[in-house]
Amino acid sequence: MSRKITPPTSPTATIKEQNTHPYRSPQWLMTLATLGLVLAGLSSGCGDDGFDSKSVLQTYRVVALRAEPPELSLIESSVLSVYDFHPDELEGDRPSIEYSWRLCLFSLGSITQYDCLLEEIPLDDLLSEEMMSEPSEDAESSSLPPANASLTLNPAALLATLGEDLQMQMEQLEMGAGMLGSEMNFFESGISEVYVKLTVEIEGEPNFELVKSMTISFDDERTPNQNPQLDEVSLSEDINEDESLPISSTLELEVSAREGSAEDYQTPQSAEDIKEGIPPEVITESLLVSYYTTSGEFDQAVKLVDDSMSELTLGEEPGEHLLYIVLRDGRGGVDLQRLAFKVEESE
Amino acid sequence: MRVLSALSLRPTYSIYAQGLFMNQLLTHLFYYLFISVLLSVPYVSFAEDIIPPTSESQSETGQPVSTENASGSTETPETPQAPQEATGQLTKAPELITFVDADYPESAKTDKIEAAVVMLLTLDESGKVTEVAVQQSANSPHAFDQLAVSAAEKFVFSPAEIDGKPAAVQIAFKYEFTFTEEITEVEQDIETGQLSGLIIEKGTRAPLAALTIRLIDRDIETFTDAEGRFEFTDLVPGKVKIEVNDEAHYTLLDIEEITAKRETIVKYYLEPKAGQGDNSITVVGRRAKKEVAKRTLTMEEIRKIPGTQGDALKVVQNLPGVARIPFGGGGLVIRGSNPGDSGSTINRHFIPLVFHFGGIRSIFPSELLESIEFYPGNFTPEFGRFTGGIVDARFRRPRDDRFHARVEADIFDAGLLFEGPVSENATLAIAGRRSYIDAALGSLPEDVISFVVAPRYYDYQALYDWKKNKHRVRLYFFGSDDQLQLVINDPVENNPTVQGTLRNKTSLMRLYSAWDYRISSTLKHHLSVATGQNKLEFSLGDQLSFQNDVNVITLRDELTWKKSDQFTLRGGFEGEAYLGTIKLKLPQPTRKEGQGGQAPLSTLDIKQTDRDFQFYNPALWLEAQWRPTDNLLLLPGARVDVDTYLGDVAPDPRVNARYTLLRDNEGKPIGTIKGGVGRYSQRPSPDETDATYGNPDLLLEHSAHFSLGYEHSLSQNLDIDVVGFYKHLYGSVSPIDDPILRYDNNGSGRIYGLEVLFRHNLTSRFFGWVSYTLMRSERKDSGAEDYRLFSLDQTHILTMIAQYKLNSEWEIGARFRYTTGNPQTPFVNAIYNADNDVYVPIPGPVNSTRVDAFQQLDLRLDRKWIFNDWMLTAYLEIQNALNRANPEGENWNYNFTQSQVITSLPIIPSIGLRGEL
Repeated sequence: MSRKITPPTSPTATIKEQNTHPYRSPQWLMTLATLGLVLAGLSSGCGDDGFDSKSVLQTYRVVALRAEPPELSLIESSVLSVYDFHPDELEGDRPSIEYSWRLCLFSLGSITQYDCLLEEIPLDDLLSEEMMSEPSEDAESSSLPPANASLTLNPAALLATLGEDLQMQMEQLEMGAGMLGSEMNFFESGISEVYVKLTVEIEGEPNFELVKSMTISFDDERTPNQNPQLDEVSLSEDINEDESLPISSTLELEVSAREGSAEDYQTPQSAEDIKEGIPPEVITESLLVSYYTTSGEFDQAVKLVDDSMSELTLGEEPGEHLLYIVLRDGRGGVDLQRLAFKVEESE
Repeated sequence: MRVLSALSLRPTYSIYAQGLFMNQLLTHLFYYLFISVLLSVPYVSFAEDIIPPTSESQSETGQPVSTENASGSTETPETPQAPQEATGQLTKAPELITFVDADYPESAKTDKIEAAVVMLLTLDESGKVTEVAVQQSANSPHAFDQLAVSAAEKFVFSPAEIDGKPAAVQIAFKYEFTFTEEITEVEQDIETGQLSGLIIEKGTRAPLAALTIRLIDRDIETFTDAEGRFEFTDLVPGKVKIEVNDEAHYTLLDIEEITAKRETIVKYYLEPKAGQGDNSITVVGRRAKKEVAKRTLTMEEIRKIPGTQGDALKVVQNLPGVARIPFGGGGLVIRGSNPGDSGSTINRHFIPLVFHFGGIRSIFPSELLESIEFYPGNFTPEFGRFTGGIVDARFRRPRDDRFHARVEADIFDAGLLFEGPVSENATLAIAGRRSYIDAALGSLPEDVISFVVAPRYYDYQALYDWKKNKHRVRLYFFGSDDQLQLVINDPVENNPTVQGTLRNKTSLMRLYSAWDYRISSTLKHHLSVATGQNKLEFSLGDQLSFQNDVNVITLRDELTWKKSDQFTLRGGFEGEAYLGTIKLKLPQPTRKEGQGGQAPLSTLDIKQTDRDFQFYNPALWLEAQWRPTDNLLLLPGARVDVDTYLGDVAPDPRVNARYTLLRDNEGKPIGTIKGGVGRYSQRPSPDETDATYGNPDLLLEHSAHFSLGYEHSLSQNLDIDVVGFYKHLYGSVSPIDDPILRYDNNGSGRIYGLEVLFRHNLTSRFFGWVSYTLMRSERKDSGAEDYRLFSLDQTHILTMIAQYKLNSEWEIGARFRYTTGNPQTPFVNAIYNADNDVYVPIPGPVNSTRVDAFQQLDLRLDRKWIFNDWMLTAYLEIQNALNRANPEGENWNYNFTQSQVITSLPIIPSIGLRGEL
């Protein structure tokens, strides 16, 4: 028996291009290091290392941070929604959680643990009424689970609020580090990338730090990225809050993405390639689906959406449980579903 | 004149392995582990063992010790064996007094069938053979066993003595039924006969010169000439008893029939004793010592060191100053330098790759190397472009005595080598190897990883060497090729970008040509050019790719002028040119050395480029070797490197000195103090100076080497060498937080330590060394105030190697290593990247913790079978014999809150075979 869950239609994805942040460069002649990285990844991902899988939800976790739309422009706000999990909520006792939002305009990214080259901008203090618009109608009507927190980001309003302070910081950045060049001048390149940081505080527990990059486009002709969309979630057993599954039983899952979810985009080019007129490479997004659960383990918790079949072996803990299915395009686009189910000892 | 072919029975023997040294640990080990193997394998010629009597006669036995062989010469015990109920020691071994020829089976003569029978002879107190039992049958339908037993029953021995008293013993005796290779009888017009022949070494077929051949019962003797030939004339017809006695070989006894008017021609194969093999391989590092620290090893030492599979380049990792690379990788961490700061050269021409797949096997068979010279520091100006150390391997001249062939196989690969003279002045060697790892890995489950091309490698070498009068020309063509291709079916959970087809292909090819010309007795000229290609391809799905094709030309032109014994001047030009293309699609760089954790691949931006490049780097060098007094040698010199790509010039002055403090009675130096100071420069790695990915304004990096040491010969075979060193790194490339510049030259480092090498040189039976290094290697990154540990800093590095030759057939060896665990950077937290569902670790203090120490014992057993025309060698090597779970690093869970130790490989036995013709 299978159950199909079809989310409502959302805007059709369009082909668009994106350049990553222009001043962050890869390092060549790192093949061996990369190979080592790959093998290390293989070993950590494939070997029986004794660690719990990332797909097993046992402690507080942010399952997804979704922005709608996933890219910013000077004329459109974006709503950021937090979908998180705390183990106490299985017993209907979700603790008080505080969310602190910050914005970083310049960072070298993961290689410097997202350290901000300028002062981080605390969004909570800056949020004015015009920046905190209500979530869009589309988001409310989708099959998305209710967000645990959300933030509306309006870059134009943000820039206006920051005003001279931001200008001064950027000038300091130019003078101090000599970073103003063609690669740093995002106004010329047409896009830039900022980082939204979120700190989650729960009393008695360590803070949870999260970062999400968001592209700001200043180029009207550029097609912005869109969130992918889950089309169909197929389960081998019918699950809902009223029916129970026996402990240690298996459940097969398979999902599909709505047509057009995998968008084409252009890879970034070096300044020399642009100078020499070498055309950018066009790549199609690789959609990955991640499964998370509070009961049991998946045989493979991260799959390509075109080969998304995974088997969940339920745990031995009876009671209410959750299953999250998250679709990511690797460029900031996210869609997800949350399913609740019961596990009971078989008679 | 009529020439006849004739058959000859030639029983040969020697007393073999009589002694027992119960107090020798190696003997015990050998006995308990392998005695059963010994007794079950075929004996070679001259094999005669004394073993205790069987249970029926054991009450009369003693414990045999060193004794005399049948010809009267004293033999060192070869295979000591412990009697299970030994009560005394063999003080005199039995000598064969009366030998009786066994009849050759007529049916076997027709088909020219040879055979050997091993018998157990029981001798009574008078030396009489009382019982003969076949211990190892000829397994032939031609009655070899019965005829051998029949003959042996008529043998008479001198009495054996135990504790000085005649005693009954048992001996193993091998009787060989063989055809004489060449025996012709030449009709002559005289009443006497002649005996002539050729004596060559068994296995190697090398002619043996200056050997004494004695006709025992006629009391006459002669010697072999340079070609191993000898001749007796005017011999009275009748039987002659021939003895060939040589310290390096087992004594040969034979009986031949001399016929009137005929010349009897024989050909004898002498079996080498323990410690006499492989002398045809040139010894490493024969040139006069002039560096502060240049380590030299013989090829025979190199071949037997446990844990290296006989790989010469891997042996360097066991020398002082060399830290251990995790998982036995092929890099060299020399005196605390980054592996990339040390260079490997072939005949002094740099090559970027010396190991297959990063460390499995070097790309040259060790058999083709003449020498490997290892310079841990303070190397002379003829070497440059590296701030760490140098490993210079040199091909040898192919053998010119005759044709040789070698087949070799082990668990990794199989190879062939052919070599020999091609004309009066020229020799040629052709060799090649191919791995079969791909066949073994083909059985891996395909649900996670499936191989399209399983890992495989091959390499090839062709060496041509011509020399005549004052000229020598060499042409070498060699290369290697590694490839693997696999499919990662599902994304890796903690690094989901890692998915798709992984391809890796590395190849290298060189054509090397050299011309050496001795212009006069005082002036020599050397010119060599190496041209070739380096190719490196790597890709992972559509996400990552790297392709680098480079055409390389390197050139050396140099002159050596020896003004007098006190003064020599050397100098030359060295140039390199690189022309190639590079296509990249790679991520934002992961953190550099010492910067802590690696960000998941999916969080890094991908950039790509496709460009051509070319650069040319010339260098000039000059060195004087000046001996102002008999005891003092000064080596001042300088090198100037020009880097046209960076636009930088590096003048590097260097000076080394040696002063002899002590000499022995013959004036030979036994105690020498030595020291050196010098500046060394190298260019940053290509990525660091690339316009897109690095900083093109970087300049050359530098180091200053200081060392002071003392070497002393404790005895003929025992040496001790102690060197203290300090190395200062400056102008080092260091990553910075500037997104445009990315790197600057403001990094620095300091490395200091002490190296001790206590070495027992190769003797007939034993060699070994104890190598210890006490060291600290630190770096200071650009903008940092304090030094931090280098990521491969190892405070204590201890290596102990021992190799013992039990006899001409068996050798055992052991290697023990201890190193301080490598520094680690702990993770204190992690940031969740919501776009890619991965965690980016936040490192704590860089290299502030260490994994536990590494300790490993490796064992090796070699067995050699020597046949007349060829030799077969087999080895069993057990790596990590104690199966210790050595820590190599740490593995972290998905959000970097838990870690566990990654351990090294468990116990791994491996075997290898080598046949040499």
